[in-house]
Amino acid sequence: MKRNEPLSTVMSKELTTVNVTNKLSEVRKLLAERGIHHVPVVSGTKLVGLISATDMVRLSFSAYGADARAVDAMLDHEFSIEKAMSKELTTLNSNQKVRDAAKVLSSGDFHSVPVVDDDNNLVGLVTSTDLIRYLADQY
Amino acid sequence: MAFNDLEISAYMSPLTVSIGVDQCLKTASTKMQEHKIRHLPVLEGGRLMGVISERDVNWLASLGTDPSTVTVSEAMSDIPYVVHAKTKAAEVVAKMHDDKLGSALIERDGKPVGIFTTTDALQLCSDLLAGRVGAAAS
Repeated sequence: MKRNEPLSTVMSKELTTVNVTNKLSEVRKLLAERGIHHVPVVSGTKLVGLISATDMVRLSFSAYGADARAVDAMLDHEFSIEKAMSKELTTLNSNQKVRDAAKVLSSGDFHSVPVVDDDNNLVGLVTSTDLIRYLADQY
Repeated sequence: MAFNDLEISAYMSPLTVSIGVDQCLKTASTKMQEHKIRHLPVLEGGRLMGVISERDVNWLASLGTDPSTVTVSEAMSDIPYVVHAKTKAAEVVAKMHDDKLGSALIERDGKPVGIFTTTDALQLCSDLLAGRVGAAAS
């Protein structure tokens, strides 16, 4: 295990993102269809927020039992990506190391950290799963 | 000590108290706060039935559920993976990764003594990379 491995060793670079102008129902479909837990929200190439599957389940709960179409209608009528997304994000810079990601995620407060460049352009995402895989590969 | 020699007990979170299946989530939450822990083993007649986490309780509370009306048995997670306290940490991490498990319950003499979660695994990863455990190359 190398102490100074770059973040690019573990982060996902081909990301599914949504634009802040998209509908929440589109986010719900993305999460359901692609089996992902977090979707970064961008404006152009800049990171502006993050939406998790947990956020979406919480928003959808009032329509529990309804079919997908009714849930989507409720989501788009009552909420927006702007309202639903987390805006105060902990991020990592692409110059940082794997050990920095491990330190941030070991707090247990969240399971995904967006990676940005010096101009806040989104360049990657590191999740707990990425680091567990990295750790398992040392065995 | 090198990563491959490290026993899981070194990084588990101790389970010092337990809760019964029929008790409510409010009681579970109070116990976790009093003992400053995030997980409780769930017992029925002394037999281990599952684990309830702070996250399980908070999740249901965020949906507007009254924690005094929901029993622990309704919210607990099953225990898919139980290992002895002397099992190597590397082996547990590999199994959790391969089987996509979020935690492992640690037992000693047939009794639950701790839980090892992905957060504990990330702490281990952080310590390894910071050189606080094992011999890492620079």
